[in-house]
Amino acid sequence: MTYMRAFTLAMFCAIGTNLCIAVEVTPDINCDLNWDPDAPMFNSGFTELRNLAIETNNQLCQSMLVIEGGAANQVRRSLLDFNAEARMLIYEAFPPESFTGIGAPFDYFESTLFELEGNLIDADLDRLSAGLDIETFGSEFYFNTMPSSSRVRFPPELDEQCLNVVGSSNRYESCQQALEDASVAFNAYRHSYDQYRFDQNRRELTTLRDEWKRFLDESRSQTLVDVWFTTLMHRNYYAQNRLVPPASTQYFLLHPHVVYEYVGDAPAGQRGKAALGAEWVGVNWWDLKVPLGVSLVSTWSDRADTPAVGHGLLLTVSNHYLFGWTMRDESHAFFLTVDFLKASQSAGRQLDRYKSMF
Amino acid sequence: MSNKPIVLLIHGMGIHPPENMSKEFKEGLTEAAIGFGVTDFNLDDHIEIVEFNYSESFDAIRARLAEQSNNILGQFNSLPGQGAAIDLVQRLIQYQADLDKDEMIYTHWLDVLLYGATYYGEQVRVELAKVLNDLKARAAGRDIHIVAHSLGTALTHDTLNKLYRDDGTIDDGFPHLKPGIDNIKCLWTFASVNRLVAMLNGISDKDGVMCSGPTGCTNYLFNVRHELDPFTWYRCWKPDISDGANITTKVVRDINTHSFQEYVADPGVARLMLLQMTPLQQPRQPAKFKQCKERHLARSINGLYDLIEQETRELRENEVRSAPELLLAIHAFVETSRALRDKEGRQ
Repeated sequence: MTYMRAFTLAMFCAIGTNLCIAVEVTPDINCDLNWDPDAPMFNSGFTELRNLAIETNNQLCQSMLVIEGGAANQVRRSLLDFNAEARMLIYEAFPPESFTGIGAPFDYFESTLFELEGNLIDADLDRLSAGLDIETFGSEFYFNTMPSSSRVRFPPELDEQCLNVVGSSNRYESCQQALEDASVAFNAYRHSYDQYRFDQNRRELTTLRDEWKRFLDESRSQTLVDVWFTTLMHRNYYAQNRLVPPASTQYFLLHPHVVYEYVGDAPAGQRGKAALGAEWVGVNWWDLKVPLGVSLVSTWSDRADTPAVGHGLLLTVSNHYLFGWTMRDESHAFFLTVDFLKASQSAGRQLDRYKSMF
Repeated sequence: MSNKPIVLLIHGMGIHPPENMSKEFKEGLTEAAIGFGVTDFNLDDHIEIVEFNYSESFDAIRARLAEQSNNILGQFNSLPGQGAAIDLVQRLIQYQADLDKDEMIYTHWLDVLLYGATYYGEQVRVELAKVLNDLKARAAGRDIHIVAHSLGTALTHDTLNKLYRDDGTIDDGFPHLKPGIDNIKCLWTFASVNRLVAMLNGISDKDGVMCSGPTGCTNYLFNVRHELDPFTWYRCWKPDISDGANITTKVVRDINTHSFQEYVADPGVARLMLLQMTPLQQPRQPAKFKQCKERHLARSINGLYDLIEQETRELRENEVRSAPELLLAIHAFVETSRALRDKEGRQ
């Protein structure tokens, strides 16, 4: 059986009509683990505990993904029941008289659930998905719950006792293995919800990755200096405590160009000429519907009757097309280029094309 | 489906062809396992190795920057005359055009700059976060270890602190894992430079979730440095660790005291790794541990540790205030070590 988390489905309806459009539909998530109970994550010798966990997983998954009035407390009640029953099953295999403190993780889990009585909110749900775990360190091992406030150490001397209580199966060679297997069975209760969270993350991370790819493919080409300057200008943005998409502005500093410049006041035959362009500082909004940028620019070309250097503005449109205007004393000049650094065509072909335009 | 632990390897600076770090990791641990008296040891029988290779991304970035510059250099041919201004600009662009060369300054130090001082760092962090989340999704019931070396420790520090967020909710639109809930089993950091790189990228150098336990991202943290590894001399990372340990190694068997394989092969480190990642019992036994240490020490370069320690004392005690000073100090260290090794070799 599959469910969708209710609040991720938004409905937009036109006023006065019955026309509704659903957007952002979350892909289905499978709440039913019975389809693969032998998968390693559920394949435990503690079959009763495992089956209980799988049953709880299904209830929990359904309740957590359809959060509507009262459902949150239903989650809490289901988990309290599960914790109590799981505790009994663990005690049968590992009696507290021998395994002193084995109830601590269940006490911790229970107290967390009691604390949340009556004021369970969505953000608390993750706190409920605590799991059991076995830790080894040196020659000792521990039985604990994460988040852990109650780590219980069991010495290797308990191995014999452990093998007795777990039964005559040859499944375990040590007490540690038996407890690990019990933990595998217990933790199945949270599997579907965890998968839902990881799936949500996967989609968000894929979106972020695609945004970065689009930025690198579509934004205006930048030199290493531009990249450094852009990063510096967005230093606080990228230092945030979460992963972020590329910033929406690019900055440019001392960016070189080769441009084709037309000076109307120059003598005939000298008007159109290739020139060196220096973009002193500029900004480009690469992600607008029509990307747009503006920069301060100077151009330089050796001319007979007009000053060699002109100063003016450079405009960028659609991240690729760069053109501008400069003043040389009283003379206006216009220049045109594509973002040569981005263009894959050879410079010669590009320049020929411009020349043919004048 | 396997239930072996998954080990995610994150390499340091420089060129790392695929499988390169896996090879060093396997060779280091295999040498140690044999030292512990384990016969027919095959690491692949015990763990699944996954490599996160961002070296390829940086190679592509360097190649693209070089290509861009070569394009504009080509266009300069169409400019009439070759005045001083054009010559100067050409020289500046030429530097970027050289970025795809396999020289150490480009493959090592530029990687540090690309990660620490440019937005490419965030792109790589997103990629790493995706790999880790995908591992979490398919590793139900399996342990995950992260093993990071050198620049990889900074990448790991920054990514984990952006991914593991206590304030994240499932619908806030930003990916997150929960500290204490989604913990990996062990985080292994070798020659950590996260505090050095923080000088460049502005991301807090505070430990944040880089700790073990309910407020961290890992159940265990092992932070390893070599006493004579110059990358760990300045702004050295020594976290307070509740579960795990700060470990300092000392044996010099390779002039490159920053070598990942040498770090892993150290018996004190390998013992913990083998116990955490495999069911082997030999590393627990004191006699086997002693035997492994002796075998390991036997391959050390005779007297080199003392010589390097003595000759570099001044370098290590100097205060480094900036990245250029650090580069100079590391360069001086490498030159000193090399001279000492050559001198020893001649005697």
